[in-house]
Amino acid sequence: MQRTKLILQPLYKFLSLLPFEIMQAGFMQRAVIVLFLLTPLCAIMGTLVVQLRMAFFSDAIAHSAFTGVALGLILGVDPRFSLIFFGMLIGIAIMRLRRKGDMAMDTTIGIIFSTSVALGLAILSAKKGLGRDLPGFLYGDILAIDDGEVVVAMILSLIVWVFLAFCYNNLLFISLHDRLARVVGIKVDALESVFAMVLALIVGFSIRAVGILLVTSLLVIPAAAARNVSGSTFSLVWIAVGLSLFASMAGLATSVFVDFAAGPAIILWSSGMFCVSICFKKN
Amino acid sequence: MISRPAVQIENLSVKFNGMEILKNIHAHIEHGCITAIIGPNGAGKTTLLSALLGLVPCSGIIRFLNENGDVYPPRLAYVPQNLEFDRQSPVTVLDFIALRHQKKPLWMGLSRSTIEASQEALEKLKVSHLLRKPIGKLSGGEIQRVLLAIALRDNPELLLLDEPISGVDVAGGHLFCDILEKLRRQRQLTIVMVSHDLSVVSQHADRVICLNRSVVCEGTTVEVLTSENLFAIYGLHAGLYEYETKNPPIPCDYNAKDKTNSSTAL
Repeated sequence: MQRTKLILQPLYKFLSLLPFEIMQAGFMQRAVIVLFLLTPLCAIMGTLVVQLRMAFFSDAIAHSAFTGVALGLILGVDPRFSLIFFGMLIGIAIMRLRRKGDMAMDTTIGIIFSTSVALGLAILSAKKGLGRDLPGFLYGDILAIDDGEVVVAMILSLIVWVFLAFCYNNLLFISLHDRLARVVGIKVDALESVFAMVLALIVGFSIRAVGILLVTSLLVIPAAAARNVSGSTFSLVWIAVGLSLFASMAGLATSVFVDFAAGPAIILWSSGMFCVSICFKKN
Repeated sequence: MISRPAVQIENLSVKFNGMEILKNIHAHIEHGCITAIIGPNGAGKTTLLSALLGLVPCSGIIRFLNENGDVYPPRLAYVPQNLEFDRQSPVTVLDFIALRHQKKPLWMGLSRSTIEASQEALEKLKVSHLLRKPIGKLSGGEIQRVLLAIALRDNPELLLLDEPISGVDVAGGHLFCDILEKLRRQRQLTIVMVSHDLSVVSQHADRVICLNRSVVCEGTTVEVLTSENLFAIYGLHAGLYEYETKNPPIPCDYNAKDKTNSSTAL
């Protein structure tokens, strides 16, 4: 714990120099750091999610958190970790079923989505008292992030940046033509599975910020808004990153000054920018 | 004409979920020729192409032979029927080519060498003006030419095309096939093309494989595209009218070096 504080101290000190009184508060400093780490990654991953038409898939992973949380509480494991682990399992399961089965992707996801939500709710309703922790995961609370989670966010962002550096091009190629990607030597099945796991990782962690119900928006809306106004992949990615950072900071400010939940405020800012982007639509 | 097989297919069978899609296929594809695979819907044309590309599990033998008749792994390139993407995507032609050309992720920008190489690849097919255009804004014919430009970048020895002119208008289809013929002549490229368009096949292909789960017949275009064979394949009385052309067909063992009136090199 002491070491964690030592790592984060310079960052906290830097943020406390900002000319806003609220930035002296530790919860605000942690929230800003996590949002700066998380939202650009969500935006870049979102460009792939939109391109690969996997918005429903990420929603399924998010909702599998019901079971992930329930299992964690029953097994005595920290639910913040159990939901990430269970989300990864669900991601892999969907990918395998899609490959092996004859069903369409959305049907496969629909079945697993409903089953995992139902299982989670069944466990929580059977074990009285477990459900009291659920609202925190449903709505998220970025202002309740602790030092340990800030460090986890740093490690997580490092993993995702490395993944994006090595795999972005191939995943984009798969989105354009799966079979052509196989012909040029891309290991499509393996790469899609890794993508599903990384997506589960980032969705699972983001639930702490905006909650199960809104986490997909963190991925999809900045990317969708950026698609409206960008003319290349490079501009798509960086516009999405810019929009997500702006929405997260504006959402955080709104939550402080208007006494509004931070998660919904961030998503509403993103939605507002999406509406504006429609007016400047290029494609 | 000396027959030099580039691909020998022996006793090839493909099954999906217990259903036999291709049964005991015996055929060969000749070096430096355009070979068309024709047949009704569900005949297994695309499956045969997939087997050649190594994308489906199959039994039997597919042997790739070099000009000396030795077995070797050729450089394969594939041009799909169309792209399966969201038309609203901002991915440009340049981005698409760069995806394979540079290791650096696209979100870190494009290198100068990537831009130059992409421009060069497109210029060869006279579509360099499409470089910065989103691929969702291209017509069917333009997409096919871009896909062909990408396929040719790896300097393939065997080019496989899956219904490259379906969804392309008549003029665009013939233009595309003219490009293929030029490629075949100038690069001595072996081309295999799945097609439904018999007029295009009769005009541009050198050899034809008629497929209906197994090989119904194979041979030169003139030998195969007869009324009897077309009736046997499609169950319809059909025939092809010959018409006079200023450009008579050029035999497929044609040597590019001897060609005096060849146009722009591809």
